[in-house]
Amino acid sequence: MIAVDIVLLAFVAAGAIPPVVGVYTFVLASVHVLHLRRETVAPVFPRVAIVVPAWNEAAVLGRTLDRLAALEYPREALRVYVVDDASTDATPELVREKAAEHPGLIFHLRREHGGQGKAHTINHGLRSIGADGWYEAILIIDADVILTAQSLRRMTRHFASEDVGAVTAYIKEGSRPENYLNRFVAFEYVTAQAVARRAQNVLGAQACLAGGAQLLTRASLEAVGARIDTSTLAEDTATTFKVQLAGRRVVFDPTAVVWAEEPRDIAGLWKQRLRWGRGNVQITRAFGRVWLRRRNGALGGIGFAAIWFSTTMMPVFMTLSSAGLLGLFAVDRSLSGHAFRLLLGVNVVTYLFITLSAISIDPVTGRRTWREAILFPGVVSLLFIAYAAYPPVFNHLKPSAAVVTAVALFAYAWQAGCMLCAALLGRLETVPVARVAVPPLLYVIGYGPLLAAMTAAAYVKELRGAEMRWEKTQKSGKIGEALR
Amino acid sequence: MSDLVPPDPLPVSSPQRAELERRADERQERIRLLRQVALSLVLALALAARIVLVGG
Repeated sequence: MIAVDIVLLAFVAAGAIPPVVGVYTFVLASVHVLHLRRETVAPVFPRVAIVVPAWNEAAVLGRTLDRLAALEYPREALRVYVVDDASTDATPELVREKAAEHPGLIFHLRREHGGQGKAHTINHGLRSIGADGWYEAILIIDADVILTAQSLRRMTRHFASEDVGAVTAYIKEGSRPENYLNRFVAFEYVTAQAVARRAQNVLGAQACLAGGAQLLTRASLEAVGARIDTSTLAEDTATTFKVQLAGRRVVFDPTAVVWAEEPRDIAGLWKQRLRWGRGNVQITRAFGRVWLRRRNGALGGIGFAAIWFSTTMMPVFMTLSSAGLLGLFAVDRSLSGHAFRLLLGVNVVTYLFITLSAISIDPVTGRRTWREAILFPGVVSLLFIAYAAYPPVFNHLKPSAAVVTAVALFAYAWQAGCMLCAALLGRLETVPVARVAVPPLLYVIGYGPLLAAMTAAAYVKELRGAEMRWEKTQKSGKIGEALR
Repeated sequence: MSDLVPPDPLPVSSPQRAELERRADERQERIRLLRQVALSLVLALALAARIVLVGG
């Protein structure tokens, strides 16, 4: 019986892994100044070819190109290649118009037969521009992103260090007018980019060059075959791993800000994250020999593996935690109560630390998204956290034994059940009369559980061997004019 | 910040400007670190107070 208890307690403890690793990530990010002191930066202006894969991007591409033309970068060292993936809208005309407006800067590369996805489109561009030997570095961006004027030179300054092979920017959510989901994504990006990538700078290994703005030297691109990986749905992550395994460093510059428009509804977010989630599963498998092997440098370190797996295995940890608590309830009810209180104790401390730290690391986004930051785990989980933080608040309720049992069972099941509820919200969104209830319900269930649900759905798709289709995220071009 | 901002904008290719920007970045990161330390202390105190008031 003791063995069963120990196994079940270990399951419960699995639920504490993501928040504890979250705190570890924030602690690393806090000492980013140490990384900056080690870094060599200088005004370096290699000849940069900006590759913009585009399929039916007429609504967003014009402004992107105008912003590229306004970059603080020597004009003679800059070329923009729009790789038009057989667009059927006004994209070709728009690019030709912009090319005429900015002669020698903007070029139109057209694929007559497209539809193979972003990575193939980028590779078409790389093949077309690689022959003449002009470019020394390549910046791959999404067609809808807005580069701030300083962003490119802030990125290229890292090439003053010869061992730096690639640089990634800080992608920020820029939809204006924004809705509730945009604010959740904006806060998520503080933790996933401003914090996690700072932490990875400190560790010396980056998980992903942000697909929206990834800068590579020609040498590092050629070292990985002069093409973007097409075998996974996470082509940016695959490139990042390969560059680092080829012996070059990848760094994140938090001052190189790039604005992006993110999905405004759960259906759009689900499509995007399913692709990312499946890509991460494929990367985990494809780079199986990287994990926890020190010969791979920081990429094979424990710290990097902890950050990677605490995110990609979130649904597993949540499910184990729930199963452990319910199992303990069946075999030893008192022990299940102790284990749950301990888990909640960890959650209280990590929740407060992570939420307040994230707001303090990017205060501008923090002011915009503080409600979403607080409600990230959802109202239901917050009630449990509040109970753990200060139980006397709930003393006056004096519930009966049956109610206590029911609440305990609900709380134990909620650790995994919240993912199911979050997944159902996506379905609810398709019912016209119920759509209005989705935003408040997401605040109740939590954005964190929604992210975990999308990761779980990615596992299922991957296990079923579903077809790898590049499903484009729809963009409207509603990025605020005031963004700089 | 005033000692870090030059009176006239320097060209983007100027090493002096790059150095000023690097120092400004470092200063911002030091401020972040100090905020994190302060936040950690406050949270540690709150946790200690909670344990004293209602037990572990």
